[in-house]
Amino acid sequence: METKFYEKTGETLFSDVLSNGLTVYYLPKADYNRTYGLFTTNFGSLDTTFIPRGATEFQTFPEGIAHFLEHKLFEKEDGDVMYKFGALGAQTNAFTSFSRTSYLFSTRENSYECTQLLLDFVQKPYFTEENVHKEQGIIQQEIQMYQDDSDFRLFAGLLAKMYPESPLAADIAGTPATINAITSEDLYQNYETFYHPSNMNLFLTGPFDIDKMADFVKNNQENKTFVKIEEIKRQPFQAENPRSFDQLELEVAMPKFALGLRGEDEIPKSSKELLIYKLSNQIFLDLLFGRTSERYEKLYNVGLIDDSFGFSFDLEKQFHFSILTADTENPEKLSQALQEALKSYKIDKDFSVEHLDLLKREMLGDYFSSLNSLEYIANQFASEIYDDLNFFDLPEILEKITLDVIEKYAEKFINEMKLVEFTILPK
Amino acid sequence: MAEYKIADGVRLHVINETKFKTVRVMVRFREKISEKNLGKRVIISNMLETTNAVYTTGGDFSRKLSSLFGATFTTGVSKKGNQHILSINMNFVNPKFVNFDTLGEAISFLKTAFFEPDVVENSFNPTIFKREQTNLIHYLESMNDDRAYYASRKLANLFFEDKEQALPSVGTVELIERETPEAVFDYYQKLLKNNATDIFVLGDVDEKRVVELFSDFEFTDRTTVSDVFYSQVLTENVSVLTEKKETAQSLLQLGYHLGVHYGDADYMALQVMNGLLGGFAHSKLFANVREKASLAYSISSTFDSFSGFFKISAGIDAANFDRAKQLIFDQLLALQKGNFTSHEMEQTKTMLRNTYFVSKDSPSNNIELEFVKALIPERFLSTDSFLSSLTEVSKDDVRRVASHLTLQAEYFMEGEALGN
Repeated sequence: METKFYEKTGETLFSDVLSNGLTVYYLPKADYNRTYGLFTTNFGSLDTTFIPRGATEFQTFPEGIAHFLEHKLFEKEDGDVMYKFGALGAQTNAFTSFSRTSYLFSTRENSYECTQLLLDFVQKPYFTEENVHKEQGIIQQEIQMYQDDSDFRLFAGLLAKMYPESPLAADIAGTPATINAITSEDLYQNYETFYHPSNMNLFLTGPFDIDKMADFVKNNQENKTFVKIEEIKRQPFQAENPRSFDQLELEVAMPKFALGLRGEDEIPKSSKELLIYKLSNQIFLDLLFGRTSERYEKLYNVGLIDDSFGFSFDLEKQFHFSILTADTENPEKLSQALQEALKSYKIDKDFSVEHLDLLKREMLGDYFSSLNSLEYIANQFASEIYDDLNFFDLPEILEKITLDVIEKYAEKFINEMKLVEFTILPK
Repeated sequence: MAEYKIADGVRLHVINETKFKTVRVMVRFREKISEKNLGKRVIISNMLETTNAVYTTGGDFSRKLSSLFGATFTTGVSKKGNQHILSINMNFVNPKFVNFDTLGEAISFLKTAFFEPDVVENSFNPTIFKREQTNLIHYLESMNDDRAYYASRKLANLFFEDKEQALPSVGTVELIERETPEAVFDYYQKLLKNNATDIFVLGDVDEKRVVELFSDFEFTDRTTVSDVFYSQVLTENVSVLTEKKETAQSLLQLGYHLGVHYGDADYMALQVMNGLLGGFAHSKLFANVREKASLAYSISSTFDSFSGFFKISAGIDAANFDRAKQLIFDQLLALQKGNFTSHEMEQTKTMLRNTYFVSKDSPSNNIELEFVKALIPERFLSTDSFLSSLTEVSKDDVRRVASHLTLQAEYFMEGEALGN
């Protein structure tokens, strides 16, 4: 087991890769009441076409299968695992993203038993035609619920236009038609391919005894047998050319506007550069559009944006994009203002060393604040694409980011990106 | 925990807690809810958050906070029974991590925000006022885009007899529209003079320093009454409203009269009853309506023990309305008849105990507990009394509380029907 003390935050992180390939992180937090465990597989809604374990050909599965599997893992021959966690006093949940599925518990009591239960239920599937059919009604309601959420529709609508004919264009939960097509055989094939310990990680934080917990996890894993580690062959991510503009009418009070910047530039290979690349792109947006920018103030004062204005940069190995969204009375005018800012960032007064220093200071403070939340820390580890670097390395990486670095990456990004506009108009 | 009196009706509560990396300051102003003042309070909450006489533009305001290592300054409004609460929060990283006096600077920022607002001749700056008023109206209009929120508002209107109790804590478009910068500033001065005020500071802080920093806040003595609990008499009829909407999902919400308030003898029995009915994943509603009948994705019950309001809400398909409603009624009836096992009872108690302790890992929940203690010290449940009274809850207690629940209001947002 590896131990690393992070001086800046005062945290000690233990990590281990077990013989079956499972990566485990332990972050002891003696003065917290709860233990939080997060068990993650690198398998999400994008992974619909791959070579199933034991097969030789690519096969395509219905959209929404990773999320469906997430729901179904909770059900066992002797009932729902949720009740077993409940009996231990713990809460449990799970969620599916584009690239990952995570299962979690949070508890004050019985933290060792809960860890065992988490490992055991995720590592023991039980699917039948009958229980698969029953789940379809519940997921149907979940899909319907999101269909009535206008912010979700804005995000989903923009993604579909940015990445047509790709798994990103589909809802994580699938559609009523695709989930009705899922069979228990499909679930087993997906499970066996993606739920191998070598494709998974476990993150545990809380007031437990580190040695006892590590033994517990190790014994649990050694008592199970797994097939040998094999590389998973996923179909490379592909999308058609974006559609630059589209709109939709819904029952909303004000127009909702989204501007998407689909990244086409090549991303760095080394994990350290990749993290710098990500932070640079985030700060780039913050310099131009954040609350401390003159532009934000101007747009706010003339009423083109309000508190609903927001932006983000998303990075996965297969794709990366920026999104800016706002509820606004004048989507055309706002779009124009945002696009102009992107074109002329080099001569922008906000694109300055002083502004960057201010934002770095803010980011450092935000970083310390985020350490209060065990859930947040765990999620950062679960979504790790930086191999040898992790969330606790962030303060040091942040120091390395200069305006030159930001300009270097912004230039490539802005020159090659493809713009997409998507608006929801009131009916 | 230590408490200091700054003036009559103004108290400073310092909660020393070393486990967090941040310090949280919260100031709460409260008074009895009134239609006359509600809109003003909501606008004030926005005004304080935007600019003041020292930080005169939104940019200055934000840049100052960024320079304090990303300190946040947020305001909010809420209700607790009869009381309307205006909260101002500051959150900042503990000085020891950044080698910078975030504590002193943040509290000084807070002082400016309260006592040096952006004022022109006895009126809030009219340009900024107008803009914030418009933004608030847009915000309130778009809140209705959230279907579940909209349904909750409709149910509250059906349920509450008292017009002011039915008002949302964030106000209404009508209440915001009628305000002027003069009237709101005039009221703001009254608020500063008359509202019961509690200041909470939570974190790894030097208590003496905190007291010193707040000692020159110009708060004056005030007389306050703590008339917190709202209750209304039972009505014979159930108010029913069905609305058709172009939504994919339909929402059913039921409002019940709840005779139990925070700190009552039956309060812990209420907690257990709610946990068994719809508070947890092992509850009757979740297990039977969602898992067994697969009629809903979201289904739960919640209660407000300060206003005597108990709610069940479910997201369903319109075609299943009758079936879902009957099944929900059956679950409550089961509790009223005592049809639940002692195993289910024990599990619920364990979950409640767990939830209680887990909530102490969050700075805001810790402050919330202290607030209840400041509000109703004679009824406040300490950790020991919470745990012991939870243990003592019997099956009979649960049955009794359940049988006092009486349906008063039913709201149904009817969307498209997919059928089965």
